[in-house]
Amino acid sequence: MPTKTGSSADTHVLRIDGQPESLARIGDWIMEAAQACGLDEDEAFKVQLAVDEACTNVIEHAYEGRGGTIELCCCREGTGIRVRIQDWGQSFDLDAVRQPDLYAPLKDRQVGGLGLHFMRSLMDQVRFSFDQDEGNVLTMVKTCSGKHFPDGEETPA
Amino acid sequence: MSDGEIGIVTPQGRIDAATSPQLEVALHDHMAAGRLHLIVDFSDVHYLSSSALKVLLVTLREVRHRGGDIRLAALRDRGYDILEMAGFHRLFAIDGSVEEARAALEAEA
Repeated sequence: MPTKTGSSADTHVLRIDGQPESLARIGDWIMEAAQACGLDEDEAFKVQLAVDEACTNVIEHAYEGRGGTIELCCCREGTGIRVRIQDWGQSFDLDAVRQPDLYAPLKDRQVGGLGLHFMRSLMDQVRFSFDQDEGNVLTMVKTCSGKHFPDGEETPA
Repeated sequence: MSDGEIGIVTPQGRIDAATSPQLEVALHDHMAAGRLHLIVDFSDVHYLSSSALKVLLVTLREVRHRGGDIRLAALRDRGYDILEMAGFHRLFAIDGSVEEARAALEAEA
């Protein structure tokens, strides 16, 4: 499918095929959109990582590698931004994904769950909904709080 | 240890779900050739996602099991931040440069 972009002063839209090869284009788009909405480059980079992880989940789990449309929308919200990511693939329950144990020794480290951990660490709000017509909708909000990069040193579980 | 026993992988640019399989292949090529002391040179990497970390974790487990190691060298600040957010700074040896990583691997041998 052709990539479609659109933007008004404060709303930026990208429709793109859900393939791994689209991730670089999505990354460039969100960096530009987030900065156009007022985030500085460091904050935009964190949003890029959260969006990349979210889209990777859509590509690998919702569309199971078969492709399908992903629609992204980025707009200003207060002093920060709101990013909406919509797909029409299989529904999945983000709340069922276990938080990885960041202190587990190598032999017990799980490979799954890191993407969602990044999304939750980097963004101030992460919400997921599913609707027959709307499909899967992930909404993430980033406020311009000047928060430092989370350092993985939170209290051990 | 001779240089020949150390494998160096030099990924470029962006390591995400599209490109992490290339990193995996490069690491596995060294392992298949019997090189279990590996250095990943991140000096030309400006972006990595959890897909890269998964490859590194699975490979680290495999090489350690076989008596080897992986050291991560020349990470940029954001790359280090991403590793730290995943707690990977507690699993991997991290060096400022490939030369330091090489010296450390030679000292380990």
